[in-house]
Amino acid sequence: MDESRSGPRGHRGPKAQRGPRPRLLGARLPARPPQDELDAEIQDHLARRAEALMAAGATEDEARAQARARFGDVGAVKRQMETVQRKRRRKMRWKNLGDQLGQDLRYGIRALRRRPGSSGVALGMLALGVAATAAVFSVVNAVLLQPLPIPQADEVRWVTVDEQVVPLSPPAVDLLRREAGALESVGAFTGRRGALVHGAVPTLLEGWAASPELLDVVRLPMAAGRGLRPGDAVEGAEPVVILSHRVWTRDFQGDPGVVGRAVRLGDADRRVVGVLTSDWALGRLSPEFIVPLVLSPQAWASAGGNYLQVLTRLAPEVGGEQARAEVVQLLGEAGFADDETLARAGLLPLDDVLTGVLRAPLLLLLGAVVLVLLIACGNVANLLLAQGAARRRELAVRTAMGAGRSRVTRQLLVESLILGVVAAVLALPLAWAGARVLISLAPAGVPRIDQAGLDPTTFLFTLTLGVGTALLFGIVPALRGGGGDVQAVLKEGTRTVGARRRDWLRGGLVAAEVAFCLVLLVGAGLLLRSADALSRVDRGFESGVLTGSVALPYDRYPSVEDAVVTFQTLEERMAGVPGVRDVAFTSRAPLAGSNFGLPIARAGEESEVDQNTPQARMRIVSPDYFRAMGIPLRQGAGFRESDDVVGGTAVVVNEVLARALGLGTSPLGERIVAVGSDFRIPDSESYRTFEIVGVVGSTRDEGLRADPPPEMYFLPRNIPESPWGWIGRELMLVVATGGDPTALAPALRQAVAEVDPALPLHDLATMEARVAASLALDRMVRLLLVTLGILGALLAAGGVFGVVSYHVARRVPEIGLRLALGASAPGVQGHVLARTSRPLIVGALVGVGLALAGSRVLESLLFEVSARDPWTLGAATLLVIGMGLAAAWWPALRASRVDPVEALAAD
Amino acid sequence: MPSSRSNMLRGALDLLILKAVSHEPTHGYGVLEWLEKAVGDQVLVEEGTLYPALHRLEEKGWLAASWGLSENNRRAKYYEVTDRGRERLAKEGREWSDFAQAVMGALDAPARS
Repeated sequence: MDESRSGPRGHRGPKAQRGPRPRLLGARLPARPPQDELDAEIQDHLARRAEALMAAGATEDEARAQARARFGDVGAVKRQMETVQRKRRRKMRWKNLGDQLGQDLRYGIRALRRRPGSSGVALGMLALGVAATAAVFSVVNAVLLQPLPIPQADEVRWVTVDEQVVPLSPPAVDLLRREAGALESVGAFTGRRGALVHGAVPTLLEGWAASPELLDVVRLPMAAGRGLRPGDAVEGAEPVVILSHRVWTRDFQGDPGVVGRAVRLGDADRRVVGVLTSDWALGRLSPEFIVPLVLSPQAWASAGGNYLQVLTRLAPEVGGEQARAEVVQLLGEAGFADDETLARAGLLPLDDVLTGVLRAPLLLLLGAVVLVLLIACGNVANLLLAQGAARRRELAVRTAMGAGRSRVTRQLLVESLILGVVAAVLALPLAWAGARVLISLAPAGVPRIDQAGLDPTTFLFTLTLGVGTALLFGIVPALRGGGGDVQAVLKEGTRTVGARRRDWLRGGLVAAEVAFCLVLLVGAGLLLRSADALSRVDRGFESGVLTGSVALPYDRYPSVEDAVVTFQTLEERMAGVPGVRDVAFTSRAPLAGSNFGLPIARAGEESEVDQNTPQARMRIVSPDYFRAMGIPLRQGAGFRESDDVVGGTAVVVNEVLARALGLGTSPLGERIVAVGSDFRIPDSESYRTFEIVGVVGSTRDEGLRADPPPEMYFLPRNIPESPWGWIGRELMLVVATGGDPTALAPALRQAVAEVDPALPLHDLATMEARVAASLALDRMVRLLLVTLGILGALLAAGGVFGVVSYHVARRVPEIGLRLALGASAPGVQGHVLARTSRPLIVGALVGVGLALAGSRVLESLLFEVSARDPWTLGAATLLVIGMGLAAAWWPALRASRVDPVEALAAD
Repeated sequence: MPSSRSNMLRGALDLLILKAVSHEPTHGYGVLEWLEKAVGDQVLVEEGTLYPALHRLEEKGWLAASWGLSENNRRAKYYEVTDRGRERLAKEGREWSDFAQAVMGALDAPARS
């Protein structure tokens, strides 16, 4: 077969071949069929036909004309033939490319295996970097990115002030429900606890008492049974309950027959009417049960006490702003809040509230891990550059032997691609493991975090990231490898003074790595300082105190008196346990959940209650509470046993409340009132007055960051019966011990069981543990950022070490020359270190700039530390430069130890 | 040649070309001569349409082509059948035979009862 490849024929028309053949990434394209082949074949045919016609008697001219006529449209035939040829060429071209890529792939694998050390290091760093990033991404994806299972979740809104959910009072809720046209449905709920008696040990569940509309707002289907009906929320209606999915599967084995059955929950038997799906597990939106919120008409009208959380759904086609305006207007006109508060009010979308506080920390972590990935990639790029330089002879030979520059570049890119694919595959199981680690570190109540793992999105992300970064960071080394002066390389000796111009790229990579490392260290440092500041915060109570809940079922302890007597018995029993120093009880311990609150005013000033009136948390406590809890008594004698009688008027306030009420330096004896319907004297306009018998120190309540709130303490028998409705019959026992508190746990449970075997002691934890739980998110972010900082520093140090070592190795002849000419060894060492410090300083400056620019992201996580704290910035800078110089120290030392004779001789 | 036959011919052209070449390697004109002898005079309305068909068969790998010199030192392209082409010829031939039999059978069939 001999298809002649003729050169260009200019006179054949526009399709003739001109100039050198184009290349597609180095693949040589086959030549276009010269026109004369098609012509020749046609001419041959015409000639034969003409001959045949002449043999039959026609003249030459006649024959030629007839031959042409019988042939048909030559032009059209040629075009058809060309189409076929084009198709053929195209097929060959693709096959060619495929063959070449296959070749490149085999060659790339061989090349990587020939350098197992260097390839292994690059692979390891890339895999780790990608895995860490993918792990954080999977958490971000599960918690923040995946849409909520709730239909049209952005229409579901909480009522908030300053972006915090605020509870409203029943009449405010009722008003919104009746009048707010922009809201399709208004649901309200409040927390309820109840002991579920099913099986041997009762379990204390945390659930909600909710209005029936709440399920309309959330609009999730039921796993079994039905939701709440308006008839369930009427006084006197049969008590019903809806169970959560978890309780249903755990305690009832997921038996659908549980619907219609009666269960004992807290105070009463209730009929199960429905079961929630497992989608009802979204952070604060995860009740273990739902009972109907039953309020009397007076309670619905009573403005005393904001305790209903309000979840609404916007009417179709209504915007959030419009709804907010209407809500603000309604509440303002009815006097439920002052203008100043209303200005800060909003209707926040569901997922903002669920995850808003998590957004900054999670994105911060994602950013940090990306920085670590970039540092790792910088090292990979440097490795590839070094490899390329070491292989330059081999590559030059290949270029000269006909592969061509672009083909060699392509081959190097394929090597990077292989690296990326293998790294990505290795990263997959590591990313899954990393996600599980993150889940275990996360604080409780992060919605959907248990869904983080190797879902399709994360899978795709990992593969794309691995391949993408490998290609991205392999481009320049590939271009360098394919380029270069082939002749010069082939002529040079084995050791030469290499091109100086390449150092700027390596230096630049080092500077970038140093910059990123500095940003990480600054972040870690700021968080460490913040944690330190938090640990010094005065909590106001003793951290070693143990607290636990006991919930008394209504039916066996129907009256308040029964409950109080029982708790006093529990107190005495526990006091008898060896090792116990003090025992008391309280409605709720600090940091253990929210209390009810009311506006407090001085006696006689009730009518002047407005939005500036302090709202105090109200706790019911036993007389020994302050001593047990370690809360200092600042003024007065405090409570006495004898004060605890029905109709007694003794109260204790904390310093914050005393200040807020403007009671001056001696508030003792002052008379104050709680302005709420529960405290109204029946058949009168006035409220029960209380006398201040003591002032105690203020305690943190909602975590260490928030300032201590105003608080008012009552003895159990001194308050009217109705506030007990707010807390049920559940109180917390406070136990101060001499030694290790947790060691006494079994004995304490025993003591409770002796009083009533059916009473569980729940949620037994030290105050220290509660504080730690409230700081769990901070701790997680800090731990991870410190880890990433260390990892980044190690990688960057490794990068500096590698680059300086390489630099020294290439300059051995020059160094030898210097030493031979009289330079001192320490001088050489110093010279290397000085040269290293340049990219270090540049990198540090850039890093400081980046840290300052990005400081705002960190602000929400810091406590009493500025995100631009100069001390931290300075320390991180010194640390990073010091680390870089330390990494360069060893190669610099080796440079100074070069034997000049050897160095100069070996060329 | 009646137009009906040239219509039917178009569907069988590839098959006939393969057959024509299968006897001995030949050039395009030779294929035409064989066709005229076997099927009838002026078998192709436009003789040129033979050549795109030949190139197509070459692209599909059923014919292999080579250039040689003809009697008068003219460059001529010669085609021969490849092994795959022979397989294709046999297979297509059988299909045509079955098809023709089916059509014959249908034409002879009695009216629907």
